[in-house]
Amino acid sequence: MTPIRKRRFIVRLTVLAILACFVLIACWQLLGEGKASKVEAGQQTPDFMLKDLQTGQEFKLSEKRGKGVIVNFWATYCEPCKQEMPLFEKASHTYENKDVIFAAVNVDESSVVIERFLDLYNLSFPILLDNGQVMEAYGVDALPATFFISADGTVSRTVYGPLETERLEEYVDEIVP
Amino acid sequence: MQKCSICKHENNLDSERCHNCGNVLIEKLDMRYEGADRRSQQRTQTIIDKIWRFFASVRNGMYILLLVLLITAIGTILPQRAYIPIGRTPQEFYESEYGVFGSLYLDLGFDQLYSSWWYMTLLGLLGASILIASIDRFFPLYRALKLQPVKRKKHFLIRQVYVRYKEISNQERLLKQIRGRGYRIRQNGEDYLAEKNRFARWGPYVNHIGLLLVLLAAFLRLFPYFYQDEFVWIRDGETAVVPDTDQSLFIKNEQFSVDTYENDDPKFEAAIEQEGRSIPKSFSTDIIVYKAEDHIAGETPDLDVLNQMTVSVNHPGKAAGFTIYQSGYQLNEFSSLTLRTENEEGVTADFKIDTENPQADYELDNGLQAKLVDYYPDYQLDGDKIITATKFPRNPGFVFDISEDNHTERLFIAIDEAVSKTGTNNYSVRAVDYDTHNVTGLSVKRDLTLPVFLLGGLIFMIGLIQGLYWQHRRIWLQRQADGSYLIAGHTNKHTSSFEREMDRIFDICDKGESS
Repeated sequence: MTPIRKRRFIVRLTVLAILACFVLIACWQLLGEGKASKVEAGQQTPDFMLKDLQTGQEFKLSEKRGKGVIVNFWATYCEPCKQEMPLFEKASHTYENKDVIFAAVNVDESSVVIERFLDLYNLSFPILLDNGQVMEAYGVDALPATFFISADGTVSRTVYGPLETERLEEYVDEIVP
Repeated sequence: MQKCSICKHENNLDSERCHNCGNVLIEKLDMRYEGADRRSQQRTQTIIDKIWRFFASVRNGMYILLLVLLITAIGTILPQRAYIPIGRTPQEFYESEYGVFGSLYLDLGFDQLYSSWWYMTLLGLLGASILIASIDRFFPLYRALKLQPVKRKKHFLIRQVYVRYKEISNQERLLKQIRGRGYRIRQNGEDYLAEKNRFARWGPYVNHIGLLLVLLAAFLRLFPYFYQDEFVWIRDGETAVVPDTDQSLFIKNEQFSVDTYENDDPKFEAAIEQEGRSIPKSFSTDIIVYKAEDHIAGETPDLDVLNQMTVSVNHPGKAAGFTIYQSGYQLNEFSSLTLRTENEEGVTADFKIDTENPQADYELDNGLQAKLVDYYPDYQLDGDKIITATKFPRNPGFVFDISEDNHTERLFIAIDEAVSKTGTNNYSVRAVDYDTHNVTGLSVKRDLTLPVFLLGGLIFMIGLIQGLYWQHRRIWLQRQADGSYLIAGHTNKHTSSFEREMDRIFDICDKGESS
């Protein structure tokens, strides 16, 4: 190649490479859009601290290290939640001795409504009352949403939307310490 | 030598007509790039050259542009996913509303077209085409015009749009005329080159820089640092976290208010009556914007006041790098309900229920007891069952056990009805009063790409004007062996106006000589 051709080749290569970078970065950014605010498997979980309606105590997630934690976001008026909650109740007893905790974060309904629901379904695991912040931190915009958190505080699995209930035990087994 | 296209007779290169058959030989020169080959048109060697050549082609650029237009148009046929009704899944919505076409639309990804990676790739290809086609043309053209000699070959001159042979007796006068029309004249020996408005040739390239800036702005919009668009609903008196701000920004709705047109306003009376309801004139919210200290989600954070202001439609407020717009409202959620009970003796007693967090038991002055059994903040009937649609007290319904001594009656009570569920009807209960609150909808936006869009648009316009309102014109005067001049002229557009200008110049010169 003559020097001028060589220079031309380098200029063209550089321009094309820069353009390709722009397109790749744009695609990367677009494919990751919306996920940024969502919690993904493998990530460290955002910590939270909420009051447990069952005991009146504060429930702080980071204090549960060493145990597997299932965090479920729910509301009394969410239909799939009504199917999931009794299953969680059952599973919470099955896994009681295996260091797995169930915690259900409510969207901030009034206590009368929640208590009626707890009585109806006989729920005994922690029920936490959110003020909008925890849902925001976990990027939850539709109910239900369930997070399976390993003993070291990393997310093992996220389910935005209803669970495949028959696979619940399989998912919980993944986070048994 | 050049061959006549009709009789195949070989003629001299500068012959205007075929010596054999008289056919006009001279084809006008394509002067767009000074008659020179663009570099990309030269023999390609490497794959890079081939890619370069693809993007350097205006025809390919046009195909890409048409494809972008077509796809952009298809994206407007059905609503984008962001605009489908809240609470419906895309799968179900597109299929039930638009059938097979809807499902196909969804499967092909048109439901989120403008934020799809492949749409962005197409825009990238368009950008590549604009940039490379410009580079490929601008630099050779710039060099050719910068280095152009005064003396040109005869066969270059006679293939220009304006060609004349003339005797010029008063050279000074002619040059003065040409100069007077804004031309700059260079001289080499007895030959002259007059040129004006060369900058008009750069118009398209300036225009392309504007386009590229617009595409760059669209690219920057993908980054939250440059562009963020959040929305929050906040009830009167409540403080809410702004999403995607790492829980650092909170807004309190102090008071939302709507101003409606007066119903007896003589100007609008008829229109309001026709509409059948009062029409909002403007609505606004008094807000306080807070910066939150680092805290764990769920914990009540320490809040520092950043700004206290009123935002109303078209009058946004600014805080923490965001612009806060008043963009929606919901009126009249119930904040409390007052119920009046009447015992068997007809003695009444009122009690007030807080809809946000109702108390469970009420002891009443007339000896009755009310026990809240169930509460539906936003009740509706689902078959014969009562359910709540949301947690918001838009249409509260209560189930109460009203008792006195040993008798208990169960009643369902809403704002406009009271239904006994036990069949007996010893006690009357009804809603007599209520308080309401409103909900404000605020858009919290940051858009640093707007200045880039604006600059891009401005440069685009400058390029357009530069290329459209001026013409690059050149006049060559070449002295022939017999002392006469070959006059050739070139303009990059508006040939007839250029020819008129030339004719006028020579007219004036000729007249000047005769007088």
